[in-house]
Amino acid sequence: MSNTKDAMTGTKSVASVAGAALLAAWALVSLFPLYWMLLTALSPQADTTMFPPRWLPQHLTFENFRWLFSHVAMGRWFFNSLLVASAVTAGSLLINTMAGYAFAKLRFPAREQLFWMLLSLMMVPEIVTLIPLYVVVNDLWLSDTYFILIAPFLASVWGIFLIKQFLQTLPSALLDSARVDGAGEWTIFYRIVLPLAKPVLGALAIFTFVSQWNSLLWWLLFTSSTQMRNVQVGLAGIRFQYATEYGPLMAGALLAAVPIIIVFFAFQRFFVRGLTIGALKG
Amino acid sequence: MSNGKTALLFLLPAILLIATFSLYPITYAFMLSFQHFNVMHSNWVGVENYRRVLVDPIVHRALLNTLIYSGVVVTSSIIISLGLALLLHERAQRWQTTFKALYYLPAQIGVVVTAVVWVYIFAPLDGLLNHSLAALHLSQPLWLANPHTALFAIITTAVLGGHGAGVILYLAALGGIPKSYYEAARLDGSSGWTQFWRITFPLIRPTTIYVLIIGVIGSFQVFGAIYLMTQGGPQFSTDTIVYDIYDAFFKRGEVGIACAEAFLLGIVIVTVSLLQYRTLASDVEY
Repeated sequence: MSNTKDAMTGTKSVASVAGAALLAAWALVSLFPLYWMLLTALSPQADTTMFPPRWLPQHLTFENFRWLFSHVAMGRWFFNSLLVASAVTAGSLLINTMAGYAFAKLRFPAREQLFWMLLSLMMVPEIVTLIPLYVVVNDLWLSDTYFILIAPFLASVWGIFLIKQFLQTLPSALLDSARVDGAGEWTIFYRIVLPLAKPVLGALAIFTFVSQWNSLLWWLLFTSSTQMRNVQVGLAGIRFQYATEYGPLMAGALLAAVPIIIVFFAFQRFFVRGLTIGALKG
Repeated sequence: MSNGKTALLFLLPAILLIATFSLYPITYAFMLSFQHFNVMHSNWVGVENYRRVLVDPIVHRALLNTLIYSGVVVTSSIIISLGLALLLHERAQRWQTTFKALYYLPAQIGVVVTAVVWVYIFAPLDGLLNHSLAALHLSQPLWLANPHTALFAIITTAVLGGHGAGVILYLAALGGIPKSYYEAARLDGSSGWTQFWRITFPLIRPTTIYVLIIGVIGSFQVFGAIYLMTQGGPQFSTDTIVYDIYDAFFKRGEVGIACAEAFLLGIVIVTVSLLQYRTLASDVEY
């Protein structure tokens, strides 16, 4: 009896170790490109084009980063990315939370119909709206302005949906009793709703920031001068104009990744929460 | 202040922005899709743009590439993220948190960063891959410059990328299944395999539907990886629908064609999503 039990825990622990090995192996595989980027960015070119590859840096250098600030406008691109991503994040937090709150807690005619209409917009491919906007934006001389990079993203159907899903779970009695006490609608929103919505606001903020930081197609179409590019379009430019300068390219990729890595580790719990709220049936 | 008026004030900024930057452009795009349009003038051509898109062999190639890309990427992402979640879900909370973060990070880094790193790894002469193959005296394909390997190479980068979202969603779903179901099954003597197909898989179906639909909507619109790695080439072997629309619009200046193709893509996406929902959806209650 005890023998079979030992055998069972034996196979179980073998399976458990094999499982752990698989989990770790997959993590290594999917993180490997990022490690190779880091290594190349910090090494002189000769070090990374030999075989067998050196898996640890041999000679640390910042030459590749210096290249980015002398040959291309990396500083300006970084500033543009940061400015637009921050502005969109701040503005969309306010606007989407207001709308999400209205859909979750206020009564008005055709509320459900309007909400479903908005939701159906989520299935429309981004490229459909991009082309006509490009035509209009060029007519209005709005190309290469911060306006056209920020304004279109201040309201998002996904953001409104996320906020609504979360606020729906709050008890309405709380808001009603504040109303009975004579609090104005803005006071209720500002003093009660916003503080209670903190977790979902965190999730919305980082998702917005990350998607704006990583934005490519929009900047590709709506900016044309070197000074108005973001980090992503800038990197694409290096890839095509300096085809074999892999050191600087990896250094640029590293700079493009760093803000995301910082945001990710600082706000990790919000990522998980945002995903699970967003996936609720509704 | 009446409730309706308050609601209007709270909704107004969002509604105005969405009307300006979504509804209006969608309507305009619809009109443009029936026009021959250029800077000087435009004239109505009926369904001519749609007809030209539908008979264009390059569009057929792009559609085929998109279907292959989407099929492989979405299927493998479901298998991989469910597999990882099953391996993780019996483990201690702190391991779950660590691995969730490790799998999720690469997906957040952004397609441009990942794509340029892969361009470097796949590089014909300086790349890690061909360096390694040369040292092993194996042949060194041009990967992204060879029409037989380019799409496969791009798909590989997507499959190896982050599956963090799927893992997190599946873990949440697995955690929601009552333990008593498995205990009952074990008493009946059913194997782990049977338990998976009879209990686990049906109960996590809503998550599978969600991951599937989000995956299809995203992968049907693949652009960044194509733009950075191959620009649709060589010989259209990696041309996808959204890249083709970009090309028609931005490089060839065919506004009407691009709008028609974009609308057809929208119709395909909506249809596929609804079909998946209809065939897979059933109310799961426990």
